[in-house]
Amino acid sequence: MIRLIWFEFYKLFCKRSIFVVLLVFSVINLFKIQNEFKSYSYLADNGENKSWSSVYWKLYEEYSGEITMEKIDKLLALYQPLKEATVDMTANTAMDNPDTMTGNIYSDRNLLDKYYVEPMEQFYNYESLAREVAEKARENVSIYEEKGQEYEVRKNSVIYNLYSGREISSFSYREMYNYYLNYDFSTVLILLLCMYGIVGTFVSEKETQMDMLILSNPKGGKKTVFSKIIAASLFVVAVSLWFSVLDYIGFTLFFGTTEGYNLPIYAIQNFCTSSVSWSLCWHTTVSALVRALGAWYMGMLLLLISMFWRNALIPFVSGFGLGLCIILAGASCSSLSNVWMKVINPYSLLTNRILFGRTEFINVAGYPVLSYIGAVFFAVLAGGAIMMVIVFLSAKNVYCHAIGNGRKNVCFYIRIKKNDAVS
Amino acid sequence: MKVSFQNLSKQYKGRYALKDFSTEFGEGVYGLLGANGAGKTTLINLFVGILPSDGGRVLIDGKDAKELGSDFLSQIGYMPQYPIFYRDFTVIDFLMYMSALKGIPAGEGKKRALELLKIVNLLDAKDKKIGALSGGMRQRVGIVQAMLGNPKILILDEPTAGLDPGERIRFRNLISQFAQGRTILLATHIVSDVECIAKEIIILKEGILIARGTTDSLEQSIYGKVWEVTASANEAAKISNHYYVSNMKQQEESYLLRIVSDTQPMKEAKRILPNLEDVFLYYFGENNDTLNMV
Repeated sequence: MIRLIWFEFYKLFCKRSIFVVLLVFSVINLFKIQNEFKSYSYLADNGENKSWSSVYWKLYEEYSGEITMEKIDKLLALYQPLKEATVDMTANTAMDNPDTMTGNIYSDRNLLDKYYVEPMEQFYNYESLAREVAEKARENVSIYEEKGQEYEVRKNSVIYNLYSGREISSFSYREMYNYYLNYDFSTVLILLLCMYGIVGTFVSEKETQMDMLILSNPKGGKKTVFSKIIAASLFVVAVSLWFSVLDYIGFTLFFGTTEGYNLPIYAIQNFCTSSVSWSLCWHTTVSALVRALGAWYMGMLLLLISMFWRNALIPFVSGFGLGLCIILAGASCSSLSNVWMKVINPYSLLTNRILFGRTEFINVAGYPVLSYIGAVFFAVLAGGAIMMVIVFLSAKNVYCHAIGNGRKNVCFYIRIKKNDAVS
Repeated sequence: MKVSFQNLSKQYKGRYALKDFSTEFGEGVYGLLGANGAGKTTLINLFVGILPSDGGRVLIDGKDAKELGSDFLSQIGYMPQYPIFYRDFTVIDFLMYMSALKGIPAGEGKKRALELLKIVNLLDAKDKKIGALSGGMRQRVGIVQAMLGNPKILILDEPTAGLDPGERIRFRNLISQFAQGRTILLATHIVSDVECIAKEIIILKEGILIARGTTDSLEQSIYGKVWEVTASANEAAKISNHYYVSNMKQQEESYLLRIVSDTQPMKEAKRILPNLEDVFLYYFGENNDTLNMV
């Protein structure tokens, strides 16, 4: 079986064209990440003494680490005079002011505001905000207990457990992770590459007329189909993990740091109501695995579509259409309250901030299940079910399936009819 | 090994592609002759289990092949019509893949593949990509993959289609070489493929077995129905419109015609000994546009 899986993998994916596409997409992805950094980060002005980048990292030595009142006071002592001096917009606009850190007083204020005051304020206040949420959830538990609403009681208990004890005790750089967690471009590349690779899994056998020869061999039926599914799964998972690793390498390379890896995920602005409390470093790993699961789920859908056709064009076009629909549906329902729509859509797993960024639940038999857990389970079940359907619908040899001899072999008949292979 | 077909049938859209096909094969080469659409490939697809039959069964030494299950498949070697295989695979990689499909252990499969490649004179090409092989070489790879499991039954579907005369002869000799101790079923619409090497020939027409016998017995069966006549160009054209002409040879200002007819077509016509092409024309005369008398 392992030999068959290896041969299927080698046959389908160890092709020059796939390596070329992978290489080109990887280079494009790195350019895109560099562009993100240059376009959106104010620290991209590397080099000069008075650049934001050099000033930021000089100040970072003083303010990073545990948040203390001394650090806050020191920061405010630096920031307040700048704020007051610039509030009426009449301060000196010279760009080479020697009394400033960056050469301009407005620039100094903006740097401190964006990179120190605002995040430190958010970090400092997060504990009380989380406590409020937890308290509110505890109150809700009492209210819903009186009303006898079991589901709401359970849901608020989970929220209470999630938010109680949440705090951000140390200050750290978070900009790189902020952009990294909101970066979606590589998802499109993963989908395109998976589409290109997977579409040929069954079609290429028909194009070379190897399907019949394979089927006439003792291991040519179910075992070969299963090997193809495993090989295709390995391919999509490998591609997805590759781009996750490349994204991380790209971001750390262009932003020039991995600082912030030990911050809790809710330290990132649009993850402040996250359903998980783990660190950014751990989230990077989990996110890559969840994305691989989404790619696998999507891959199984593409595989199912491709098995009904004789040439690659139609399944590629229909796969592209399906991908587009899933992306559009995923993007449009990301802000909606219908959590089930997020749970069943593989796009949610591929760009998993939809699932991890908010604390949302689905009601499963009266029990609240966090949306990301629901999505993971749904993907495993749906992907597994699609695998079974593929095995069930694929051509089988009559002699290996004597019990089901009377059953019509759907795929093969479709092919025979198209081919008119009567002779 | 005795292979028996009992009332094997297959229909497509209510039309029989194969109808009540019953016959037996022992060891040796059996030619399955028929025009395009006669049901040869359907019969082979039913035999190798690619298609489910609508009725009938296949027996191997008296035992239903379905009861043998995948054990039966390990006893057959199949070479499909127009094999393309995988262009990016080297010959040896492809054969190793086929070994895996047949359940042959890797070491044993490689040893067997190299032995067979030597027999078919392709050992030097073992590391070549299949896409770089000529049609004849690819056909030889096709027979090697079919022989990998040392099968007792070898099924070849139009194995010489598209080959030049030299390659065709080489391929026929290979088939004869592999015939010892095996049952070989050779489906073709090329008369010369089976004429020299087949122990017996089975003629299929519109899914029905219409004749079976040795080359001699089949020729004998139409003895007295083949005629030769010399005619002018105009007369030759008229004769072609009214009779089955299996050969027309130009001789200076006249033509020497070979006619297949139940009755003497004209007074001057001389009775001659039939050959297998005449037999083919006799049975498939009405759709002789599909014939390929090589």
